[in-house]
Amino acid sequence: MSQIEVSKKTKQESEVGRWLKKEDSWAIIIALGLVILTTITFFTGGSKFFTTMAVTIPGWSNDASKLAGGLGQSSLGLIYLYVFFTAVFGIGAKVLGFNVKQFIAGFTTLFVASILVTVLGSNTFIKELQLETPLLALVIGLLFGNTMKLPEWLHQALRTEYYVKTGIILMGATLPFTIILKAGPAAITQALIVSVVTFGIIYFAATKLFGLDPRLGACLGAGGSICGVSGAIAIGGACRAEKQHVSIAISMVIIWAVAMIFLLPFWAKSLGLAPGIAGAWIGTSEFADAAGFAAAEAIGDERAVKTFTLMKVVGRDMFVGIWAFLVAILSVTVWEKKNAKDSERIDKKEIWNRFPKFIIGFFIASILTTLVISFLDQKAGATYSKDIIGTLKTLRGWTFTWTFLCIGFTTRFRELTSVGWKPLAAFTLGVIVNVPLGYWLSNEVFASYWLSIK
Amino acid sequence: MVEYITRITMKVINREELDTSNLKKVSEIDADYIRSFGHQLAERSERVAAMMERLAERGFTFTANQDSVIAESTKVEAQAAKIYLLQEGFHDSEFQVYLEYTRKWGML
Repeated sequence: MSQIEVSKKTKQESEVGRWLKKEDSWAIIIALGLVILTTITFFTGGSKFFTTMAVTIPGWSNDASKLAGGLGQSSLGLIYLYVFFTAVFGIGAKVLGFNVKQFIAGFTTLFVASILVTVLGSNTFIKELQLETPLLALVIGLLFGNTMKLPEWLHQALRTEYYVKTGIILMGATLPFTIILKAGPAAITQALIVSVVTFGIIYFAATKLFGLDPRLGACLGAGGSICGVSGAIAIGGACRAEKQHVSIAISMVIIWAVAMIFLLPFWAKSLGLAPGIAGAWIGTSEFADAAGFAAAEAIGDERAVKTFTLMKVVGRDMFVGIWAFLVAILSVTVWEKKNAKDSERIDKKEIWNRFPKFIIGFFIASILTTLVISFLDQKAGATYSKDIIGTLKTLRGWTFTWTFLCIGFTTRFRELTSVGWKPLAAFTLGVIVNVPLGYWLSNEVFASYWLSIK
Repeated sequence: MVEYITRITMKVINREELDTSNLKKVSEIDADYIRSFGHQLAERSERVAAMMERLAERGFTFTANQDSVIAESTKVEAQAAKIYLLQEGFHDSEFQVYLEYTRKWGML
């Protein structure tokens, strides 16, 4: 008898344990925890801690004394902010298996860098140069990440996805659920059109024009159309792509996503687009959530961030599981040249397994705050919006600043350029179609929906 | 840029093949039916055990749930594992491959 170790785990152990080992889970715990805690303290009268840590840096020009005064007033808030997020992210980091000491050291550095970047981004001269805080964070991160070797302990805290998912769920709390329901059909239709067209073009170019493996074509197509790196990873898994295929697709996504952080806001401003339309366009044509938030925030108007979120999270990210399921079926039938009867069975659970779970947190956060406001009278509702939603919005801003710094620190252009010209050409063809199509759909076909988002 | 885990699920009790739901519903059940059910189960168990032995040679480790054995590897890519099993005489319908990629640190 062969020696084969079979460990029997109870279902409960493995499910809870596995759930807690995912970044999505900790983003949900932290962000929803914040929404619930701030709401409870609003009713019990203890929300001072959270409102104090919702620090905003005042605008300043040459008068450093105004800045010093603002920072002095915010010093306690900054301490609260640091202690709170170091504690919650640190607990998550421990369960996720990161090196906690290094994570705390790295996060401390990231936190200090975020204050410096926010202070610089609040300067009127830098604002005139169109370098809003997100772009500044990115530029500074890219500068350091590409010119010097960052210490290993800092890497532990450079968790782009960890911060952006937390920020997206907090974003949900600031978006009334009625807006999500109202814009949902437009976002889904627009996303469907763009995703199908872009995926089709990239896949066709990759496989038919350049003769690449269909699995690589699918990874490139998913990265360029569905939801960036997450799309490439989900589809790569679904069609059993090789590790190399997924890495190439990720490289393509990162190169174009970083370029689009600068290009899309620049084009939107040059074309004089309304913020709502600009956000929807970015949501349609940017390739990754974190990069998209940087681009949408660079528009400098909350409406752009809202329409971006609706377009990207509700319209595109939500359907990655269904795409994965369809591509999985395609891979075991068409690519393996087998009919449905003889092919490997694809479990419908694939849809749920590949579904980005943080989106559930996004919806719950929105429903929670919408319900609370609906139960309050007008005056109390306005106070809740100002104190609690306002606080969550500011905290969301900090999580995004950490995200943008992480994008910069972790994007190494040298490592991304060895993918060969064929994948680059296929992906670029998709970009050439995706960007104008996204502009047309946002600015013409669905313009009224995006303009109605306040 | 990415790490992966290849999971191969091998059903010991394939409810679609054995139709155990039907077994519970049949009111007039006979010995032959049960005997046939037992044979199918034994045959299926033998096939799964054989797959486990082949996969163990490639470094897979195993866990189990209610009706399946799950083989896992972070070294053998999914498509390579599938081709290997097919070459060893197993059929597509006897297993399900699930490949999960995760980002390495910090990736966008």
